[in-house]
Amino acid sequence: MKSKLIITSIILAFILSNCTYPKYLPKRDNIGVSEYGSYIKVKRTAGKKIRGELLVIDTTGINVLTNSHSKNKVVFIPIKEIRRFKLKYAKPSAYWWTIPVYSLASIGHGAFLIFSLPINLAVTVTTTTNSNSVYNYNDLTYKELKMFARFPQGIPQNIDISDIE
Amino acid sequence: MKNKKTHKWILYLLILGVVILTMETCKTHYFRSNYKDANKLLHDNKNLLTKPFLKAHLKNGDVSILRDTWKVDTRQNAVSGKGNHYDFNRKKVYEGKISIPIDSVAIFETNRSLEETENSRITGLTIMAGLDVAMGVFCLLNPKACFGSCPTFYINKHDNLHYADAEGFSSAVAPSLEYFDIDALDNQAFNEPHFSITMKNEALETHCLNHVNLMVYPVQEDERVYQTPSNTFYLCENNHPLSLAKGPEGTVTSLLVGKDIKERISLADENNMSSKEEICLEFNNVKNSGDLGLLISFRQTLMTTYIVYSALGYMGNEVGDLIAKMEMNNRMQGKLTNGLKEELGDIEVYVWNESKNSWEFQDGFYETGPIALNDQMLPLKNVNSSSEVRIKLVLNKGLWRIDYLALTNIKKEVKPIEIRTDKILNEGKTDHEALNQINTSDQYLISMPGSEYRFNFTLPKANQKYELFLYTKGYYLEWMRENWIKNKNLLKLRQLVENPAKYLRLEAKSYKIYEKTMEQEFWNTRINTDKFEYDEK
Repeated sequence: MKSKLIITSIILAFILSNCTYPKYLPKRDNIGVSEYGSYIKVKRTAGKKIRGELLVIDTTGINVLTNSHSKNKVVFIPIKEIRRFKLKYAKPSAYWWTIPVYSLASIGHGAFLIFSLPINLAVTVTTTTNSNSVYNYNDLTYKELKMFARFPQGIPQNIDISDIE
Repeated sequence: MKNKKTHKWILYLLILGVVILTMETCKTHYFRSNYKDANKLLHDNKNLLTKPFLKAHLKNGDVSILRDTWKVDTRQNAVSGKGNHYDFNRKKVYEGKISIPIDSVAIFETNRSLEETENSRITGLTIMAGLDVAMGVFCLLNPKACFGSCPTFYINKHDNLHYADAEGFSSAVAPSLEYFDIDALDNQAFNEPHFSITMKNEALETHCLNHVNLMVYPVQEDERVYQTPSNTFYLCENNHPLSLAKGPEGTVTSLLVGKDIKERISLADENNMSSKEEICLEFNNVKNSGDLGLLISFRQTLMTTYIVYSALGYMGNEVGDLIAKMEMNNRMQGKLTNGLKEELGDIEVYVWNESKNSWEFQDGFYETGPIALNDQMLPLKNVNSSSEVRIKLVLNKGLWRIDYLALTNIKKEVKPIEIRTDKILNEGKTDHEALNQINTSDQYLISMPGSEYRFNFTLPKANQKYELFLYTKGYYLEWMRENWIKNKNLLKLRQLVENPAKYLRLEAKSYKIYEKTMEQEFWNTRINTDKFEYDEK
């Protein structure tokens, strides 16, 4: 039982440690001065999930600036192909490290580990997941979503979309 | 049952976590606004005490971000302020005073400050960290309380320290001190052809087990078999409950009349750890007073634990040498094991002799270990042939926890059958090597911290009720802790071995500090408040 809980917490810690965010995503206090669009993950009706910076949205679809192998690429996703999306507009504080650290602290509690480990896991996992989801939107209308794009006004005519970095 | 409660408790915590999580994720922050019209922007922000940052998205794709000093000049038809200007690829092209013609702006964007959400998370984690550290320090200073002691045995393998059914050879802290220990399991097997018990190593100790056997005796529905302190066994019947019990603190009958783990304890004398106290017992309406036995359910407080750990601490970095010397020195062994034990003494039992008008000594109970309750019986001699029996217990203050006292009628002495284990499960898998080790006299099953073995026994007959006893033989080695080494004091060790009476007198004040926190912390961290009680006397 003990070892299972410890292993679970370590796995969770690893999973959550992968929740890294792009550099352009501002911290909570810098939302107002961030020059970039928000980070968006789009699940399509078919094909791979698209994730990247929300560039622009219009009535036909959205453009996302993706980054794969250090190469930027603008991907257009037609509205009808969007199954759902999740928008993250600020970088959450990182609490994932509390899961292994607090769980390991429970080992020092000996027999009382059976109480302290579940409490520690409940508190740290809740805090981490809670914190990860605090700056998210997944129920915005497309009109509201526009406000979080780099170009809420749409792509200016003088710009070739392939030149965007 | 207890395990189900623990699971329920964990489930409630998880549900609470999910509820909090759901509440948090439901929150939306309408902090961002877009304006195509500069007048609307002015109108919406004119009454704000703190102006939001302003982002002007230009028609050419650039963006200017102005800090909270921006203003709209309606004569110039421009927005001005201090900030940064970025091109469409968001490369900074200018920093300083900016004036932007309103006509060049496609959209104005404002962002209000987000409500602070981190404080509650940080507070929660800080409280948890504080509790974790406090618990860790407590366990570091009082490892026995947190890490158990000697091999602990559980009929229900999911039980924890508070519900141990037996603990093996608590005093055998070195190979030369190896002895066998028999514990009543107080659990009568009925109809089941098999019986299993789980052994756990919950301490920072190496357990060396020579034997783990089951002792069984068949009984009828109204019969019980009890073990005496000298390990003889008696078939008994009837149970005469306690009528009155009085200790120095007053009447304690309610604590001693039922087997409910509501124990009578006392605190140690602050001037002498070996001070004695008396408890007077009265039993009314007793039948067959000629063949009576006194039943008791008892265990120790943490006083002996304190002394053992203190002794190891006094040895400091010489612990290995000193234990090795003790292994080869019978005199030292005798002093270490008997001197202190004699000074602390048994729970002495006296019966009132009406004809001699005096208390008559019978014998005593002694069993080391603070975890599992010991169920034993002492045959009484020269009891008056009346229905009223008066008994006196003389015991060391602060050393014993007594849960239950009663009288029973002895039918005859019996000899239980000893059964060897026929299967050992190690983490759920059959361990043939362990089985061979435990059933071979000159071999030892070594159990390390965290180990858990399940011993299976086949009872002689199915559909027969048996009284069960656990026979264990072996010794264990404490792991020296770094913080103990700092307490090295060979003079104090010498005093403990050579003059335990003086040691117990001089150590009383230090023990009182430990007792106050240790006992309270240990037993207050209980699972079921109905089952355990801390009575501060």
